[in-house]
Amino acid sequence: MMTLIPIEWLRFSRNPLNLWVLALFFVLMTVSATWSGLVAREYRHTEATPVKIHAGVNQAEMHDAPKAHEPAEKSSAYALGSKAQALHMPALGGLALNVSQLDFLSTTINASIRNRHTDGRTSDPLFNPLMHELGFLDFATLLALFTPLLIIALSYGLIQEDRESGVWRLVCTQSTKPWMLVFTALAVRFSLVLMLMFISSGITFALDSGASLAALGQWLVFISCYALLWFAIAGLALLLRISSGAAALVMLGVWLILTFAVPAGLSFAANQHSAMPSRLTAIINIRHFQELSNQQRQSLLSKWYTDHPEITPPSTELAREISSLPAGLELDSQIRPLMVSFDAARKSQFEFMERWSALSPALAMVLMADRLAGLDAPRYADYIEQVNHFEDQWRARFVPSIMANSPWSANESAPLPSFAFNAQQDNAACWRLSGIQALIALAFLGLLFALRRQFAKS
Amino acid sequence: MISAIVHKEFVSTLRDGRLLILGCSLLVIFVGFLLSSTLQTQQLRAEKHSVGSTAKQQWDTQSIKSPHAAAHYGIYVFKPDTAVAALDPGLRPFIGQSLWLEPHKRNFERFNPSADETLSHRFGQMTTSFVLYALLPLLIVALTFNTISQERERGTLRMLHSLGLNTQALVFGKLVGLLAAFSLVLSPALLLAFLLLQESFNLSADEGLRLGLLLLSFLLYYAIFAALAIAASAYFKTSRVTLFFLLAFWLGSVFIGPRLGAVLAQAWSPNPSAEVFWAAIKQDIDLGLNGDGNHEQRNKAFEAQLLAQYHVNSKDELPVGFVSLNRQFNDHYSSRVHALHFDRLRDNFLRQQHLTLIGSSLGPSLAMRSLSMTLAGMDLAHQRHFEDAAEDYRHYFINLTEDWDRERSHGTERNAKGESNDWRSVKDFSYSPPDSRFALQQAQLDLVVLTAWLLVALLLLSLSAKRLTP
Repeated sequence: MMTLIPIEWLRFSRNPLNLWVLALFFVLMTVSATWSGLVAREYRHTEATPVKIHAGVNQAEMHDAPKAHEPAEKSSAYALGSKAQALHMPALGGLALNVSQLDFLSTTINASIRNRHTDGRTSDPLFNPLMHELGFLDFATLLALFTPLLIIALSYGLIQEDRESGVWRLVCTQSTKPWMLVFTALAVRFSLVLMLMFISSGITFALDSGASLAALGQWLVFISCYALLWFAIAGLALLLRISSGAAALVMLGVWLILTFAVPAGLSFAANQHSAMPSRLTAIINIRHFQELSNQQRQSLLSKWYTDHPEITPPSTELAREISSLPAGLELDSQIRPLMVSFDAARKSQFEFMERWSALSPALAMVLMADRLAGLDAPRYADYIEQVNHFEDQWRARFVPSIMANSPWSANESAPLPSFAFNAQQDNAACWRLSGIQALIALAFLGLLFALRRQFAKS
Repeated sequence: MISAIVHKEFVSTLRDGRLLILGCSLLVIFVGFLLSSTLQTQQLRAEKHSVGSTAKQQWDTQSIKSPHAAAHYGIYVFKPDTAVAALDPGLRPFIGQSLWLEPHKRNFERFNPSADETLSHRFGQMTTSFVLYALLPLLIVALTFNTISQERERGTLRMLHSLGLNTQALVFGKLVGLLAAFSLVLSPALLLAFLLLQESFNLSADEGLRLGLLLLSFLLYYAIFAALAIAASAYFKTSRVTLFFLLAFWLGSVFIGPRLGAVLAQAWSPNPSAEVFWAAIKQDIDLGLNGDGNHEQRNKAFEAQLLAQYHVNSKDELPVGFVSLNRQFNDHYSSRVHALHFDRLRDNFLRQQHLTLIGSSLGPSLAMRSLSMTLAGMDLAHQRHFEDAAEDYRHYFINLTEDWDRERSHGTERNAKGESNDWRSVKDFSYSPPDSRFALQQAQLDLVVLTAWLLVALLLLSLSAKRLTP
C-alpha cells in the first residue's frame, strides 16, 4: 500500500478539480476560523474588562424606592441591596467553535434583592433576529456542514467513473487486490482533508485569546473521527453499481438526511422526551402570582416578622418598598421554579440528543462544540442554579437589615457574598461523543473492509 | 423548431427517473413540513389567543388598588401571525413571543424560542420554506446538470449541430421545457398547500394575494437556477465539472452567501450590547436630551409651570393629583427617549438587512429568503409595525390609569383607587397587520436583486448558447 500512495497522490494532484475543491474549502474554513477566533477574542476582552455600567432603573421608575429625605442608613441598606450584581458565566477554551450562540444565552445576569425574572433588562441579550435567521460563520457549524461535502466532492464516482470508461476492468485484470487502490485513494484524501481541518482549527484556536490546549486536543480527536466516519460512508458508496452522477446524488441525499433530517427528528423526539414548558402559559402563572402577592402584602409582612423573631418590627411606619419586600420575595420564590423548569428541560433535551448523537455526525459535532465552548445546556443549568444560590445569599445578607430598619453601618464589617462560577469542561462527556463517532467510523470501515472483494467486480 | 425542443425537454424531464424519485421525495418532505408547520401555526395562534384572553381577564379582575399599581401589573400583547407564516415562519424563532406593556419603560418582546432550543437552528430552519428555497433548487441542479453536456457526451449535440439547429433556440427551449415540467410536478404540492391553508386559516384576500406573490417569486427564483444550470451545462465540457460548479453555486447561494452577508453587516454596522443600550436610555433620561436639563431641573420647571397654571403656591394646594401629573410628565419624557433609542436600534437593524444583501453576490437565495419572510409578514418591517402599534396602545392605557389617578387625588396625596369597572373600561389591543402593498414596498430591494440575477442568468444562458460547440 505504501508504494501506491505516491502514485495515488500523483493521480490526485494532476486533477485540477481536486485542487480547486480543496482550495475553496480551505479558503472558506480559514475565513470562518478567522471570524470565529476574532469574535471569541473580542468577547473575552469585553468580559475581562467590563464597562462599569449600571443600567439599573431610572429615577422615574424609583417611585417605590426610598426617597432622599428618608434616613440615610435605611436608604443605603435598601440601595446597596437593590444594586444589581452582574454575575458572569465564563466561557471555556473552545468558545471560538460556536461563538454566535452566546447571543441566545444570558451569560451576564444582574441579581439583587429585586425580582430579576420579569425585567428583560436584567439579563436578556440584544441582537438583530435577522442575523441569526441567516446564520453566522461559526466554525463548528460550517465544518460540520462542509466537510462531508468536501469528502463527497473528492471521492464520489472514484470507481464508478472508471467503470463507465472501462478502466476499472483493466485495473481488475492487472491487480489481485484492486481494493488496495480504493483504500489508498481514500487514505490520501483523508490525510489531505484532515490536514486542512487541523490547520483551520489551529487558526481559530490561535486567534481566541482564551483558547485552551485541552479543548484543542479534544476537538482534534473529534474531527479526526468525524472525517474518518464520512470517508467510511464515501467508501461504502463506492460499492454501489450506479453511474457517477447517481453516486453523487446518493451521497448528497445521505448528507441531507444525516445533517438536516435526523437532527430535526431528534429535536422533535427530545421535545417529546422532555417537553419544553410553554413560555406563554408561564406568563399567565406569573401574573397570577403577582396579583396574589399584591393582595397578600400585609399578611406576608406579618408572617415575615413571625418567622424571624430575632428581628423586632420597627415602631415607625415602614416605607412602601420595605413593607412590600416580603411579598416580593414570596413572588420570586414562586416564579423561580417556573423559570428553572425551562433550563431543566433544555438540559434534559441536550443530554437526550447526546445519547442519540450516533445517528447524526453533524449533530454530534455541534454538541461537542457547545461542550468545549462551555455553552452547553447542562453547564448553563448549573450556572443558573449558582446564580439563584448567590441571590439567596445576597438577600439573606441584606433583607434582615432592611426589615429591621437598622443602620447599615453596623453590618459593614461582614464580607458581602461573592460569585464565582468555575464549572470546567466535562471531559467524560466529550470523550463519550468522540468515542461514539470513532466506534461508528470503525464499524463502517470494518464493513467496507469485509466487502472489499466487491471492488474486484468490474 | 423551439416548440419541438420545448416539447422534447418537457417530455424527457417528466420521463426522467430522477424527477420521479427526487421529486416525490421532496413532495413528501414538503407536505410533511407543511402539515407540521400549519399545525404549529394553528396551535400558536390558539395559544396566543387563549393566553391573551386570560391575561386580559386577569387585568379586568384585579383587586381594588391604586391605578398606577394596576398599570404596573401591565398588559401583554402578542403579534398575530398571518396564514402565510405556515409556509415561512421567518424570524419567529428569533423574536420574543410576548410583549409586556408597563409604565415608565418600553420593552422588547421576550422569550425567543431559539433560546429554549438545543440546536437553535444551527443548520437552518427545517421548514417548508427551507424545502422551497434550498432543496428545490438542488432538485433543479440534479435534473439539469447534464442536460447539454450529456448530449455532447452522447454525440447528439453534434448531430443537432449538423442539422443547423439554432443554439439559442436549443438552450432557451430547454429552459422553457424544464420549467414547464417542473411547474407541472410542483403544482399538486402548491395546490395542496393552498387548500390546506384555506381550510386551516380561512385565508383573507390579502393573504391569498401574498401567497400568489410568493408563488410568483419562487418561480422567478427557480428560473434563475434553471437558466444558470443549463448555461453551465452548455459551457463546461463534462457533466462532472458542471455538477461541481452547480453544487458549489448552490452551496454559495444557500449556505455561504447569507452567512457572509450577516457577518459583514454585523461587522460594518454593529449593534450596541444590551447593557450599553439600556444605560444610554437611562443616561438620556437622567441628563436630558439637547439641553432639556436633567431630571431634577425638568421636574422643578414642571412644578413651577403647574403651580402657575393652577394659581397655587404649593403642590399640596393643587386641585388634582400632583404625583400622577408629575409621573405622567416624566413618563412622557421617558417615552420620547425610548422612542429615540428604539428607532435608532431598529434603523440599524434595517441597515444591517440592506448590508446583508452583499451576500447576494454569491447567489439569489438570500434575496429570496428575505422576500419570502416579508411576504409572510414575518420580517423586521412587520415586527416594527406591530411594536409601534403596541407602543401606541401602551401610551393609551398608561395615560388612562394616570387620568384616574390624577382625577381621584389632590395635591401630593397617593390615595387614588381604581376598581373592577375601571379595569374593564380599558379597550382591548386591536392590531391590524399591514397589507401586501406594505410588504411589497419593504421588499423592493430584494425584488431588484432577484430581477438582476434573472437578467444575469438569461444573459449567461444566451452567451453560453453562442459558445456552444459539439
